[in-house]
Amino acid sequence: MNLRLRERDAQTIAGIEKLRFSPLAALRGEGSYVFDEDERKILDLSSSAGAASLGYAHPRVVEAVKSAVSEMATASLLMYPNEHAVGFAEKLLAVTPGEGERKVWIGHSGSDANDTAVRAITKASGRPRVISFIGSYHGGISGSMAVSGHTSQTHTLPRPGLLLLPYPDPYRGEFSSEEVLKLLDYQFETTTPPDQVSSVFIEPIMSDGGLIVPPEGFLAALAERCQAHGILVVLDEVKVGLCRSGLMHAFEHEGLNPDVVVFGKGVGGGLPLSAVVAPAEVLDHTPAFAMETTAGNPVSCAAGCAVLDTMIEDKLAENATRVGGMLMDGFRAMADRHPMIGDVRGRGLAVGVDLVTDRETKQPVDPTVTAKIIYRAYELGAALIYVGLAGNVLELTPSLCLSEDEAREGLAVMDQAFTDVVAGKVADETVAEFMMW
Amino acid sequence: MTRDLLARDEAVIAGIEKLRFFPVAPVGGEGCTLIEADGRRLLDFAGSWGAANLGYSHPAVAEAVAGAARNMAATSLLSYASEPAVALAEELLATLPGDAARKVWFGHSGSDANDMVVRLVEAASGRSRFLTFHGAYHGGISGSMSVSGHSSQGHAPAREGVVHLPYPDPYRPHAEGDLTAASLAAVDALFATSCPPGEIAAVFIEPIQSDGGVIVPSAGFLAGLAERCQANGILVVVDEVKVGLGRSGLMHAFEHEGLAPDIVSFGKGLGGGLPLSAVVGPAALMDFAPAFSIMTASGNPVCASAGRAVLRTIREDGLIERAASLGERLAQGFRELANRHMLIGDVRGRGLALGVELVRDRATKEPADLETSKLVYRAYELGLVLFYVGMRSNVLELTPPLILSEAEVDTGLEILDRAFADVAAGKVSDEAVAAFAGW
Repeated sequence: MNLRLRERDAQTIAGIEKLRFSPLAALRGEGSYVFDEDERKILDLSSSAGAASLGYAHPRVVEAVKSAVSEMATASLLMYPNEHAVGFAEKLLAVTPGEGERKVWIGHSGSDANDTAVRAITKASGRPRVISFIGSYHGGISGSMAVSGHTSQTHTLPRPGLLLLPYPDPYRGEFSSEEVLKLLDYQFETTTPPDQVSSVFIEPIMSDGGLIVPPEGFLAALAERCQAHGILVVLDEVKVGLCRSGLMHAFEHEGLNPDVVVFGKGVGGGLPLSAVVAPAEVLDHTPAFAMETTAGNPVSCAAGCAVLDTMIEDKLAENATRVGGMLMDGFRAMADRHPMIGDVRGRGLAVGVDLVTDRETKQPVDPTVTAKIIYRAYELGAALIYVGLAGNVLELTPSLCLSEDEAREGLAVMDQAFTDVVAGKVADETVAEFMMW
Repeated sequence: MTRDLLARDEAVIAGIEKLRFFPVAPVGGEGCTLIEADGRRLLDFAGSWGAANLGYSHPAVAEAVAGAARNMAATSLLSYASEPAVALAEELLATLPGDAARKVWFGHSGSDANDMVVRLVEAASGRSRFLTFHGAYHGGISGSMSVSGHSSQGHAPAREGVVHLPYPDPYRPHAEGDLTAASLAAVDALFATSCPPGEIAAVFIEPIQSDGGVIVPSAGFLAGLAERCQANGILVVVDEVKVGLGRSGLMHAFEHEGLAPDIVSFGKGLGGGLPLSAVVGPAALMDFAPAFSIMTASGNPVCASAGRAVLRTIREDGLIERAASLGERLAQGFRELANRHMLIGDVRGRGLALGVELVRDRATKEPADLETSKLVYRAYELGLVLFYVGMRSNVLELTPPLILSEAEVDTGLEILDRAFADVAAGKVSDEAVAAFAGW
C-alpha cells in the first residue's frame, strides 16, 4: 500500500461523515499535538472538536483504558452493572449540582444523549412541545437534529412542535434578550401553551452557531420563565462543559439550576462516551426505553472516570481560565494589526474569533476567507475549525492541559496566518474542498 | 464504596437503559467467563448480546486498545484522516463480496448506524417510504426505532411511510401453504396497490430476525424480496449488527441468503466490546453531502484499532469455521434436551446465533414467557448467562463469544439441562423473576 493516508482516506471514508478544514492526516497524537504522516508536529487548537479534552494519549486515560480492557467486566450496562459505569455515574452526580433524586443515562455521543433526553422527557412529561434555538447544534442523529436549529442541518426537518427562538448575540445584537423573552412570552400566551412544552434545550455558549456567549442574565430569565411552567431546563454541556469554560459546568456562569444536564465529547477523553443527568422520574419511567448495547461499557467509562478525576486533581478549570484568558488577550492584541478580527469572545478555553469585512457594519467575511486562515494555520503548524451560521468564526477548543507556551505558539501561528492570507498566499481553489458547512 | 454494586447501580443508573433478567453484577471477565465479586465464575452464552464476540479481555483486543490509546492518532475522523480508521475501512471493505466502488461510515452503535442510513437514503433518493418487518429491531435511538417493529418499542411510533411486512417464520407461519411464495405474493400485491415501489427508498432486512425471536426466514424469501426491490431501485439494506462478522458460520449472514445488498450495517461485535459501528454503501451515496452525518468521536483510533484486532482474529483463528461447527454442536445438544424437556418447542439459527423457543404445548405452541424468564434466572443461579428475545418473550437467545470451546458448549448444555428440570420442578418462584422486567 503505497498510497498516502489522505488518499486512502479519500477512497474509503464516507464523505457524509467528514467535516474537514485541512488535509491533515494523523498518524499519532501526544499532548496538544498531532503528528501527520510526515511526522510533522501540529498544535491542535481544536483537540478534535473538544473530544480530546486532556489532549492526546494522556497517561491517566491510557492507564485507565489499558486496565479496563484487560479485565473487562462485560461490554454493556444494559443487562448488568459494572464498576466503571456505576463509578462514573456517581462521580458525575457528585460534580453536577442539582436537587432531588437524579439518575444517569450513559451513551456514546452527545448526539445519542440529546436524542435520548428528548424522547425520555417528552414521554415522561406527556408534553410534546420542545423549545430550542436558531443556531443550536445538539447532535448529528435523528432525534438530536430534530431539536437543533443549525444551518448545516436544514436537510433534516425539526420535530413537530419545536419552537425555535433566536439566541441573543451581544456582538451583532439582531435580537436583544428582552426581545427574545418577549417573543417567548407571546408564544406562551398564544400558540405554544407552556403546559404542552416539556423542555427547553440550551447551550450555555452557543458553540457551532458561532461561539456566542449570551448576554448576562438572559439564560437565567429564560430558565425562570420555563421552570415556572414545569418546563424542564436542559443544559447541553457537550462542547463547553467539564472545565472548558473555566468552571466545572458552563451553566454555572449563568446562575441557573438546570433540571437535566447532557455531557459528551471531552467526557470520554477521546473515547465514545456521553451522559444525561436527569430526575429519576424521567430516567426511570420505562425500562428498556433507550438502549445501545455497548452503552456503559467498562472501557469508555474507565476513561470517563480518569477524565473527571484528572480535571479536578489537576485543577484544569483554573488552567482553562488562565490559558484561555491568554489566548483571548492575544487575539485582541492581534486585532490591532488585523482589521478582519471583529470580535474575540468566549469563556476559558472555549474561544471564538469573529471575522468581519468591516468593523462598523460587522459584515461577516466570506467563509472562503475563514477557510483560508485555517488552511494557512495548518501549513504553519496549527489545527482549528470554523463555526457560525455565516461560517466566519474561528473556534478554539484546545486541550484543557494547554500550556502557556503552547498558547503563545498558537497565537504566533494565527498572527502569521492572518498576515499571509491578507497577502494572498492561499488560493481560493486550495480551500474549495474544505468548506463543509 | 461499601454498598454492593447492584445497590449502587440501582441508585444512580437510569432505568430506561436497563434490560435486566437476573441480579448479576460482574466485576471482571476473561474469555467466555464473567466473574462475580465473590469469585464465582459464570459461563457466558450471551456475549453481551454479541458485542463481546471475542469474549472478554481478549489479548488481541486488549493489546490493540492499549496501543492505540498510547498512540492516539487524533480522536475524530471528522476533522482529520486517521490511520486506524482508514485501515479498518479498507479491511472491512475487503470482507465484502462485489467490486462496486464503496465507502465506509463509522459510528458507535448499530443504533446510530441504522439511524444514519434512514436519513441518508431518504435524502439521497427523494423517496420517503420504507419497508421493514414486524419484529425488526434496528436500534434504540430515534431514527433506527422509526424503522423497527419490535414489541418492546411500542413507545416509539414508526415513521410516516413505513410499511411492516410479516417476517416469514417457518415455526409460526403467517400464511397457509408455501410460506415463501405467499410472502412474496404479498409484496407484489403491496407494490401493485397502496405502496408504489417507486416511492420506496429502502428495505431494511435482518438476515436472521434476532430480537424478534432468532427467526431464520423461510428459504428463498429474502432473495426474492431483494430481487423485487432492486428491480425498482429500492436499496436493500442488510443489518448485520447482531449476527454478522462470522457468527452465522459465514463472514456475513446475508451470504446464506444469496443477497447482494446495497448497504450493510455493522455494530456490536465489530468493536470487540468497545463502541464501534460501520455502514458500507455505494461511494456516490456515501459522499452525498459533507457533514451530513457526524459524531465527534466516530472513527476514533482506540475503537477502530479494536475493530481491526477483531477482524484479524476472526480470520487468523478460523472463528467462522468454529462458529459453524460449535453452533451445530450446541444446536444438536438442544435437540437432545428437547427429548427430556417438553418446554423446548423449536431449535433454530445459524452457527453461533441460536434461538430456542419455549412453549407450554408443542401442538398449540402456546408461548411459555414466564417459564422462559425463570429458565434464564435459574441458569444464572447455576452459573450460566443467557437472555431471551422474541415478540412473545419466549425465545432463549444464544450469541456466545466466537472463541467458545467444545468443553464450554458441553458445560453450558449440562447447566441448561438442570435448569429446565428445576424450572419444571417449580424451583423458581414467580416472585423471584417479577423484579426483572426483561422485555
